[in-house]
Amino acid sequence: MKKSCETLQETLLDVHYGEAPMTKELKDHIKICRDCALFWEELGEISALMDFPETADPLSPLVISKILRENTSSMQKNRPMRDLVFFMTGSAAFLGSVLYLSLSGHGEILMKTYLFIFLISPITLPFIAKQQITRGA
Amino acid sequence: MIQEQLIKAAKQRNPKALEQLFQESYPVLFGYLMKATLNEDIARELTQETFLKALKNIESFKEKSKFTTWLVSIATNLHKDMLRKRKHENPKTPFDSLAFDESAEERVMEKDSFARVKSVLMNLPVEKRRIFILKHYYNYTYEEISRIENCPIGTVRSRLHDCIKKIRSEMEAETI
Repeated sequence: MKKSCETLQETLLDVHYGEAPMTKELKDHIKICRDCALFWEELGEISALMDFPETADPLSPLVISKILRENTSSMQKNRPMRDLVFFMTGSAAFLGSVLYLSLSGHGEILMKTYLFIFLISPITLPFIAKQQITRGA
Repeated sequence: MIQEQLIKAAKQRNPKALEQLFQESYPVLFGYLMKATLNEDIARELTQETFLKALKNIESFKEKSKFTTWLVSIATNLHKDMLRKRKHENPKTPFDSLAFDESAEERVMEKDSFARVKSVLMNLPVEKRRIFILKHYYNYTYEEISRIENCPIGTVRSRLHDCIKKIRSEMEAETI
């Protein structure tokens, strides 16, 4: 086969699959070249020969629910790891800011704040209890 | 619901939208995998894996291509992974014979046209076969196939040409 025929047959393949337009040059060549005419004819035959029936039944709802379930369970599997990362980042940010404040001379304010946070619940607890008792009575 | 709305709803994990999207793309996806693997069980398994992977990564779907094209590229990668894994597990098994469940005797016995098509596809090297399937049966453009297969357009074109050459030689052998 001539080199030019090989190149033209590649172009004929592009034409067959709609990747290139059929030009006058190609049409004229097919008329005079037996090899290329046969190639063009065989491309049509291949289409008929390679018919492959589509046998897919509709996707079963069971399969869909299985896919959705598997996705949910894999997401849940990843959740503890995500929560851990979130917690660690939050803790690091909190401890970092505490460290920064204490090193930059705000230790006293920090101690007072901590004292307030620690004492607020035991101080307010009797008041809440008293309120509940009076409401119950 | 139109495709864009469906995808938007699917990205918000709406089960009905996901079901409709999967139902619509199932025939193409399963048909593609069936032709690429020539084994119904493997095709079913890969279809499910593709849907699962798509569901996990649906937020990353950019809507530049069709949803089915995106699924086909996921399926192609899963098929490549499966072949690589099996080749690694059993290096002595010929690469192309991995996906088939028919014995040579059965192949000779089958005379109908469908068996002939299967046999022709079976004789194409697997990476070339996928390209032929995408072009011949699903009419994807060279550009889309190059994106799905992650290879240059020139490679797609030459592989397709090789497939046609091989099919032609088989046709000639049959007529002799």
